[in-house]
Amino acid sequence: MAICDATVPDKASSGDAFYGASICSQVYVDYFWETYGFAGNKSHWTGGFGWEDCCNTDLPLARAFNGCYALTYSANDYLNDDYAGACLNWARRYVREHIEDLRAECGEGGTVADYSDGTVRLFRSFFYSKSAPGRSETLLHESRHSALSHNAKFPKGSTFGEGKDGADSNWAYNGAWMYGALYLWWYFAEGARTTSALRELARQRANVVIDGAFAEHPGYTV
Amino acid sequence: MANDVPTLGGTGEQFPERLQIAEVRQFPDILGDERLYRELLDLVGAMTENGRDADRNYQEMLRRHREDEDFVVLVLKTLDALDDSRYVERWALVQLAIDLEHPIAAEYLTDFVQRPIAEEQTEDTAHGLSTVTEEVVLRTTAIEGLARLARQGVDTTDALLQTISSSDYVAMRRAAWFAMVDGGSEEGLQRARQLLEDRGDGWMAELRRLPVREAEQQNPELIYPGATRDGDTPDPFDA
Repeated sequence: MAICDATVPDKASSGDAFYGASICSQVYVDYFWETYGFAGNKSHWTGGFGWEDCCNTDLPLARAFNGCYALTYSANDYLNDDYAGACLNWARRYVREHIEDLRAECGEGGTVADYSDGTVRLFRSFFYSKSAPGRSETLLHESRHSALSHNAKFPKGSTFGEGKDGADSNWAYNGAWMYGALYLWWYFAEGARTTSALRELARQRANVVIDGAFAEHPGYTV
Repeated sequence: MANDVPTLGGTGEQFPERLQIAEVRQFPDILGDERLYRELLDLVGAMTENGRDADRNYQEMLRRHREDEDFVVLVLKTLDALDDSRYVERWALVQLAIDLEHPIAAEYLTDFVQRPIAEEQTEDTAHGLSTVTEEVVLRTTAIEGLARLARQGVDTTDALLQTISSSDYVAMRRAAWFAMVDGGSEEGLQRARQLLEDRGDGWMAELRRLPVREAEQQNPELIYPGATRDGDTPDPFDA
């Protein structure tokens, strides 16, 4: 059995201290487990990943739940998740409809998450290097790979590495980067039940994605 | 409910990995001042709260600390004591330094923006934690802080122009340009525009800063049906 170590960053900084204290409730555990692809994947959440202690925000499962909470409730009218509306609203629907299996693994080399054939694997960097809202954006990004892969190289001046594979060709491609940036943009503009600081973080991250993750710059800034 | 009960005959081999927590970190107590340290933890907690009153609580706590220079010094010293890889905590302290809006943060933020960025540590930056991206997000956040200070009359022109002329990253040059647009003098803005054109970056000055509702949204025709799982959503905890 492979054993991996994890270092838990300050839980106030990531939002896990507050979320953990507030949403440790069976009603949320049941809802997230059934809705976002955990169900049927218990074996991927045991072994120190949190199944046995699902309110412990040191552990991956509770931290994934915190991302699910942000994904579910960050729109004021979160029950309206029509695909014709705001991304902040329908992101939760897109994730629940397009991730069949959500699994945790150790991962190597700073990998955050990947998608393959309906399964999203979440690695240590997802749980321990992302804020709670950042995890919700990652879930949307990965779920979009159910339809589209990255199809271009990162442009000159990109923080993701000029010339490397992994960019989307443009905004109109409607790829994973566009979905992620659009979600962050809406979160900045209209995120509910959050603070100006976390909304500003969403803005900064959206702009860095817009500036660096499309072969053709969309022409926008947030 | 899913049938996720334990199965008979398990040998442990179906669980190929085990995760163990090596360390749970908190901010270091730099000054040994119990009151200030506790206030730092409380304020960082407030900045990432969730709930109907989250932002009101955060703004109220900020107001109580804005005149406290010792507290701002603590934030900056703590920030400098963190390893580079502690991105989540470093973001929290950079944002806090900005939100406190104290002029003594200007020199720190100016220096921070211009610090060199180490080479990328992650191979797959599309699905991994790009260390360069994390560093750039911290710096564009700091640039937003310089823009706010400029609007309060603090001269941040040199640092912004230096970023426009020398940064390798589009995101930093774009952020510095818009910081100049937001708070720079007319003369500074002209110099910034010239620097962009000299670098072949004149297009940045044409970028549209839009409300999200005016941006091109998702194309619903490109959303394909997926599994249907739409059980009743519970109310948020603060409903």
